[in-house]
Amino acid sequence: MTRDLALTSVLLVPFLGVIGTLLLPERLRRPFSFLVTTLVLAAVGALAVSLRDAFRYEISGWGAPLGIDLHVDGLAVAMLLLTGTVAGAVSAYADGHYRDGSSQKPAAGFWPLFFGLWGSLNALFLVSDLFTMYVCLELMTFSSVALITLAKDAQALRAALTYLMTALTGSLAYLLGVAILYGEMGTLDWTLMSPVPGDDPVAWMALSLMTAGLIMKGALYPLHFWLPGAHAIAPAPVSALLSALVVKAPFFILLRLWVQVWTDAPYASHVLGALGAGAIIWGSFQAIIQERVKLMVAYSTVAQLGYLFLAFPILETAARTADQAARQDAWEGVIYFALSHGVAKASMFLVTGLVVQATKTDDLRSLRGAAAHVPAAVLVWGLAGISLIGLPPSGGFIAKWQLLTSAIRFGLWPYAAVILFGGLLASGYVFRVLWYAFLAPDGSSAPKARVPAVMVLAALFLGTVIVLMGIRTADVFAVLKAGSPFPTVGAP
Amino acid sequence: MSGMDAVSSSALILGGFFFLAGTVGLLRFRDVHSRLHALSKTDNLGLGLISAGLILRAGSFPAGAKILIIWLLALLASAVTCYVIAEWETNHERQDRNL
Amino acid sequence: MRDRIEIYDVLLVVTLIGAAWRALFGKDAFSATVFFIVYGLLMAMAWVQLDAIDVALAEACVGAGLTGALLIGAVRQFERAPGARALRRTMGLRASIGALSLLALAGLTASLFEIENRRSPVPPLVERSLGDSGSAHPVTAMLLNFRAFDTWLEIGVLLIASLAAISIHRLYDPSPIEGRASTAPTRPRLQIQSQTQPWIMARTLLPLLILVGGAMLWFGSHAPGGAFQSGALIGAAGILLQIAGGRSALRLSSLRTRSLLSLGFSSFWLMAAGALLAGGRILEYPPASAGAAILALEAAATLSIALTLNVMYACSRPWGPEP
Repeated sequence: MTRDLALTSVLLVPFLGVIGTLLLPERLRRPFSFLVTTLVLAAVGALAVSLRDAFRYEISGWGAPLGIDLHVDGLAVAMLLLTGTVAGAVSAYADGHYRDGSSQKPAAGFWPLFFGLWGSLNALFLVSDLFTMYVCLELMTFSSVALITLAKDAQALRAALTYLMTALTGSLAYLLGVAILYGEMGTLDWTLMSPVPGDDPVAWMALSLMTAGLIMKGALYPLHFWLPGAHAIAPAPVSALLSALVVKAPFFILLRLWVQVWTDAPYASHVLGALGAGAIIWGSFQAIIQERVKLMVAYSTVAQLGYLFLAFPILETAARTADQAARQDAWEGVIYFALSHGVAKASMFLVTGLVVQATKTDDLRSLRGAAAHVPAAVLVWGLAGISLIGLPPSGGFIAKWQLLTSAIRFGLWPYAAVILFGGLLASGYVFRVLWYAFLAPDGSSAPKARVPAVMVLAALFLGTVIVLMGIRTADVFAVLKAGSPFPTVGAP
Repeated sequence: MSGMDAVSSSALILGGFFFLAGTVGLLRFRDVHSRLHALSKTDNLGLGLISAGLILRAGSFPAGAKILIIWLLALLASAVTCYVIAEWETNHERQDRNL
Repeated sequence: MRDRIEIYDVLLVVTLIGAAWRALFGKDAFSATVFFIVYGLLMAMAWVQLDAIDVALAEACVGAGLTGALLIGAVRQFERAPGARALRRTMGLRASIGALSLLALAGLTASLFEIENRRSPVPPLVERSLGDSGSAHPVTAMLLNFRAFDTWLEIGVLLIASLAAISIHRLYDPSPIEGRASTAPTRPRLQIQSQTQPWIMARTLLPLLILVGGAMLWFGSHAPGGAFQSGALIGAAGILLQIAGGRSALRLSSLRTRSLLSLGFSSFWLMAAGALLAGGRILEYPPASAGAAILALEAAATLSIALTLNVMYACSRPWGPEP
């Protein structure tokens, strides 16, 4: 009973937030947003704590394949936790950002879009129906595009338009794939279609189309061209949402498709793995040479997404071994990487926003002496950097460790080498910023503006989560055991 | 009913011929006003003939009435757009001449 | 489903491809837009051939009608913008994109021929459950009962899109270079030039459009029709009024506009929450009152969709309303 209540709240309350922040007068908007955020976080927490096994929920009372079902398992709840954590921090940050006097009008536009984004992400992670996932992707895309344009800059409009065109092309390819798949399998529910036979050419056509579309939306190298522009120009809270959450949604769908629906794809997964390796190397190099911090963080996202795509060959090989613990380790490592990257990247963008708030620019050279002026920001950047490089104690370390050991265990030496090398490259751009931050401030720098405390607290909260993820991993791993495709206890 | 069929078919074919004539005028006439003249007259008459042909074939009175209303609406739209285009073209020519 | 290919189908496909070609490679933006509208109408006829009447109605109203109006407005602004030039792509890039597209097309066509023989379990399920669904038309039952969650999210997409249009309109003022200083503060909101042709057409068509839109909403329960189609028609009525009036009567940021825009989305939310409180699943209708529930939701959605289309058109005009 409470489980169903928590589940439905996770779905419904963000959309109530959309309606409320759209219609309520100015002075009621803040407490209402706070209330909605708290309710959703509580619901997600309740769901995570009470999850034992995967379960389904029929929306509208008609079950699949006639209606739409929700499939709640460990992966879904983990993504919900990520979304809740990042969205909660960003909402606190945005509250401070938009109350700072200068930008009253965009505040009215921010909140409905923010809750629309959150709601669409929650729905996407929960539904079991491929077409509903498409609609959620569309809702997510439109909210993101509108959020990017809140930057009030002609460049932002251009970047948002590029993002929109790319995302729509990707959505179209995905929809075409879903349509073909429906014609072939007779149902839209991925749990009912699996496992898809590996020798079915029509199904392969559908999978290729869907993968192509989702790669475009998920900014996998070499189709990442829209990401740096869009993520760098957007306001800081928006960039945090985009890099941490929006690019994870297509990856989530791909994970479901490649691991849980098409269980028999030996060679194709290596294509994705190769592209992922390219993303890591190319993205990291690009990040190191940037002169603006926001662009640096955006290219870092491109690089880190490459790690996620290394998951496909690793999990594919994992599915063939008999070692149950090893398989579950690989699965957990992949998901934990998505989670820790989300938190780390969001905190990096919030930090950048703090710096921009204080010094009005995100140029690297103007970071001189930042450690003295905004020490909390530099601290959080350091913690996020630790997670991205893969040093303990952070979630990133655990995730990379599991990925690395899985790669070595299954004999995938090239990928293991890329993972190690990527960590080294990440330290390049992380330490570049820290270098400038710890330089003694020169006397000529302009007086720094005051930064609202709630923004700093939001960033510190995410920093704490990064460290907690390195310490309390067993709790998250327990959640991930529910409904895992690699069950460890007497699988049927 | 073969008499009705013959009448209806000839109306349809005649309507098609008028449309063809109008399109030839659209492609061959040199300025906007002549093209509008060709299109509006022949297209409306053509549509009227085709509607008449279809009404004869329609199974019931409501279906026939709907086809008649469609023809009237098309007439309205065609007349209005014809005038709008002609007016804009005239003003444009006047401006060009004044320059 | 027709199982022979007739001459009409071949002609339709050929003209479709021709119109699409001219739309993509037309000699200027305006002719491309006109051919795009033609393509939309031909596409509607193709949908009729495939027995998808609801889709044909929606395509004709929204795909050809509204999108055409928006594109023409955009083309006019594009022509005013100084220094606007076409994007030049290298021959090599074009050739490789062309080759990839042909490859994809070949693969798609092959798979389309392969999947003709599959049988889906869904149509018999729909047949069996149609009686309890509250609608006699399978498409409406599917959209508003079996897969109502999808429809709710799609209405959400429309809401977010309209909010985006309003937000961009307010933040990025697209008024022409002369600026908006020329508008006198005492100008009436809706300025109808009563002898002009557009007003004559609007005056005649307005009641007709509203009537047919309402009828379409009612028909949706047992025939092709429903919220999207009737919303598109009523929206078209509003757009005609805007074209005739030269200015928009909408005040984009008023509470009334915002509540009407979100009416569809909110109604679905209330229905979902209500079903939960009554002890069922989200958006589960009791079979006895399912018909009434569907009609109520469709009516709310119609109003929202109509206003969304009007807002989109209003935001695309450079001499738009004051915020």
